[in-house]
Amino acid sequence: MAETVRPEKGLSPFRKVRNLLLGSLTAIAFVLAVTPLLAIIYVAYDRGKSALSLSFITSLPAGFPVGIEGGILNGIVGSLILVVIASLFSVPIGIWAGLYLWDQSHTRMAKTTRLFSDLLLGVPSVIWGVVGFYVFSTNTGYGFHWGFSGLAAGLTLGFIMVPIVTRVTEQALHDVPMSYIEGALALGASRFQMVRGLAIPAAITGIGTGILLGVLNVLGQTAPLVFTNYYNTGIPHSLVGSNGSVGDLAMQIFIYIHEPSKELHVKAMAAALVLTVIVLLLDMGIRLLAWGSRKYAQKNG
Amino acid sequence: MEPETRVSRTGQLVNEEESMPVSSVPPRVLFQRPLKENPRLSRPEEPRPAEKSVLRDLRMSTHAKIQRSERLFQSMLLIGGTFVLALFATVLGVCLVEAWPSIHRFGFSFLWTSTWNPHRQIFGAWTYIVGTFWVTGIALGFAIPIAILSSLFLSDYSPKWLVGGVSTLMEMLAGIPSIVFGAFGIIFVVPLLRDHIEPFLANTLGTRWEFFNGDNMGYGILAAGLVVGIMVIPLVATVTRDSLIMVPRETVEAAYALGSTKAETVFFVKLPAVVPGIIGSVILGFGRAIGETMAVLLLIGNQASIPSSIQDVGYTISSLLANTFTYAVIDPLYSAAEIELGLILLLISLVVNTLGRELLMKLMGGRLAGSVGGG
Repeated sequence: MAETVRPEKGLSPFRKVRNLLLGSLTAIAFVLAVTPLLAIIYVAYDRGKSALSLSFITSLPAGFPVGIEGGILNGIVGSLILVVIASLFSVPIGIWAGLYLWDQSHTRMAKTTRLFSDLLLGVPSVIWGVVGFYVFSTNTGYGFHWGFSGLAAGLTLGFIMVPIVTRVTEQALHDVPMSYIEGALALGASRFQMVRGLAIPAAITGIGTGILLGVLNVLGQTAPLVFTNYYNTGIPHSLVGSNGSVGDLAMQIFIYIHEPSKELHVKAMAAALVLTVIVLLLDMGIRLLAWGSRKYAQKNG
Repeated sequence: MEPETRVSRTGQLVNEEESMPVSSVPPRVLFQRPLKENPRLSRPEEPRPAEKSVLRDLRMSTHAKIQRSERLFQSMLLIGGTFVLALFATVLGVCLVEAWPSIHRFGFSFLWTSTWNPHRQIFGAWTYIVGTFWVTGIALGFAIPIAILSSLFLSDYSPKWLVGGVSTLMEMLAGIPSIVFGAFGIIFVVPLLRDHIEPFLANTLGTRWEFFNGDNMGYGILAAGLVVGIMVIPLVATVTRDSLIMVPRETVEAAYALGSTKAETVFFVKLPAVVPGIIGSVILGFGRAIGETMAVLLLIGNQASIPSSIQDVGYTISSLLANTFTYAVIDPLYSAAEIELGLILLLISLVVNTLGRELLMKLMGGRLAGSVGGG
């Protein structure tokens, strides 16, 4: 670095001290910012390590209070079910809406839609829970009357995912060079052919990143599940109706940590570690995907 | 072009090119078809079948089929956009409809009434609004200085090898679910506050100001605020660092050339230059903190009282909803009051998020990962 060699000889003591003091202040703040985040992972490992084993993630909870023995298989399976339902709902709609926002971005309608899509990004998860309850779970009034069930929770999580997928899809499509699109249209391709054959394949890594980002946001959501699908200590046979609740990792941590039992706290921390690792792996996947596509784009000009 | 053969008036086959050498006639004549009379014309003319022409087929399909299919495609896309609008309408509609009994009954006085009594059917939001703002305020007061200073460290002081790794790490840790933060709070932060920090606060500042005194329980607005602050730090730090990168190099070099030290450059030149970005990131952090549910629910103590000291317990809007909504559903007015609280939260966070996003969009040309409010 060229800027390290600077004449700082003639400085007054005040400025010297201030220089050092402010510099070390930033370093202290940096340590303060990073330590708690790493401490979360360390504490989860430290408190949960006595429960961690392979059987912890491959067995159902048992004992009384439920969960004191056994593992978190119900939570893992349930989270997977919820994420799959949410993705099945939100990915087609999100990509569809993203295509619309990209294709007709100049129209006033699209601008309005983009504004509302951005507004949806800022809706707190409690509100999503309330909405999901009244749309899917309630047994009175209008709505689907599915009770507390996996389908209701999955679709509520899908609601949360829609604006994320929409936004990222639109962004990824905007990154496709306009000359490609114009070339395809000039060669006589219809808009649908252009979208199917050119725009979506060119933006597919960006769209994939968006889907993973949505899954990442949805995976740890607890508040919507309190309203739409409480918890299940087993694996359900159906996803609708009074026996349709699924277990969920985040909900499981919430219930375990809410009890004053030492054993349950250990289980909760182990489950928290598992959830964190899953989330971090997913995040790494997103980054690898983005990095890989950047490399690919560089190699192919 | 192939020479055209035709039947002449005399019935003799004549090659036109032979009869009329191209070079001998003016070029304009070549384009005019010579007048001719078809010997068969004496018969009533039947319409000749349309000539096959690729070009005309294409033109016809452009005007009819392609146009139609393009329009169809366009309207299909519009349906996709309508889904998003419908989703927003559902959110707002459900909240408004379900909150209507309470809005109708209490009017605006709902906002500043602090009674919350389901048995006597009196509901007021003041306690929860105050609790929400306490937690958000503590969180931001803790997070913002740390986040800004650490982003300064990352952009200017830290060795190069550290920057990429730590920035990525921070962004990744920002994705940890809030329930994990809540569990961490119960396991680690609450005992720490109860045994060390709160007695310390009470013994030092608490002797002068009643505000820092309290029961040393660990649970309360301080614990909730600190944990939410930890969650907000990566968000604010990342956005601030992104705007710090965009400070023009000339500005920094000019500051050095004028003889300022490194700290003076960083704090008095770079930092003021990114104030709009910082405001945007703080607004986004506010939006994230205010909607935070599960971590707060686990840590705040869930007592409906207005906190008078930093060690008091309290209640926030989101934690009240998550905690008691399933009981409240039975009573229409009770649930309506809770949803009206949710509506207040929704409106605040919509305004705040839009504001922050627009501000940052203007500054950074539109690239911003979405952050979902709370969890």
